[in-house]
Amino acid sequence: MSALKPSPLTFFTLKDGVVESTAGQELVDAFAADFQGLRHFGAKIGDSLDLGNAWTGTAQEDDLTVTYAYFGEGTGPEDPGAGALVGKKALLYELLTKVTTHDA
Amino acid sequence: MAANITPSLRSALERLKHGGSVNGILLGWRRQVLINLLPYEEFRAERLLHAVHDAQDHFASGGDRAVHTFWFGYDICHALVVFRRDCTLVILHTRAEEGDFLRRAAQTFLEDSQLLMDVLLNPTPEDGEETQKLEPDELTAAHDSGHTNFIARVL
Repeated sequence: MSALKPSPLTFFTLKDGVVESTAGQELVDAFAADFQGLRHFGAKIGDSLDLGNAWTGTAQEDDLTVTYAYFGEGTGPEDPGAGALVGKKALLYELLTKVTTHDA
Repeated sequence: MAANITPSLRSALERLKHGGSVNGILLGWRRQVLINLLPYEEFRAERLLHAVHDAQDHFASGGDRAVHTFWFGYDICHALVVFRRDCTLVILHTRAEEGDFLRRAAQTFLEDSQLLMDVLLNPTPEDGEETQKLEPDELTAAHDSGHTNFIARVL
């Protein structure tokens, strides 16, 4: 869980179970915590409706939007993907598009 | 409780269900299912509602965080979850590009439906007592007369 509310759009890469970013470690830790929470509850919600694991997930507050997406090779913890975090109420689809087209 | 839903609330939800590529909608109050328009059984709807509340509680457990929207993508559909006060709206939809449109529609629905839900959840004993019944004699007499009712135009 992140207590930080950063304003700039920050991208993260998910690879081999590791979250990486050029942002500071504090921000990486914050995103990693949110990513794990989203991934866990995405799976739980999917399980309730027999939908499987979520390939993307977004959590939004008034001043923070966190999203992640896998690149289509699977939704396991080691599979590649990307994420983003921005300190505002962003458009859901726009942020998802930016994450999925982000050049890792 | 589902049987006592007022028609206007259900019809508003039905209209929302026909917007965009919506597959199903669930309206909940706290952890209780109010209206289930999902293509799933009731127990699955209840499990879903518990899961989304667990997710919100998880993010709020750190302190001052208040997640009001979740959006998850699955192989066959997306699940949009919007919270407002004690109410939760879950929308299953297929087209990702409709996520923002549906989020705004869900927020508007939850905003506009607060009074209806308040009446539903807090019915007063006086509800309905202000309705005046028709006089049975007049109604019967008019019906039995065999004539078309004529209302004279007042000039």
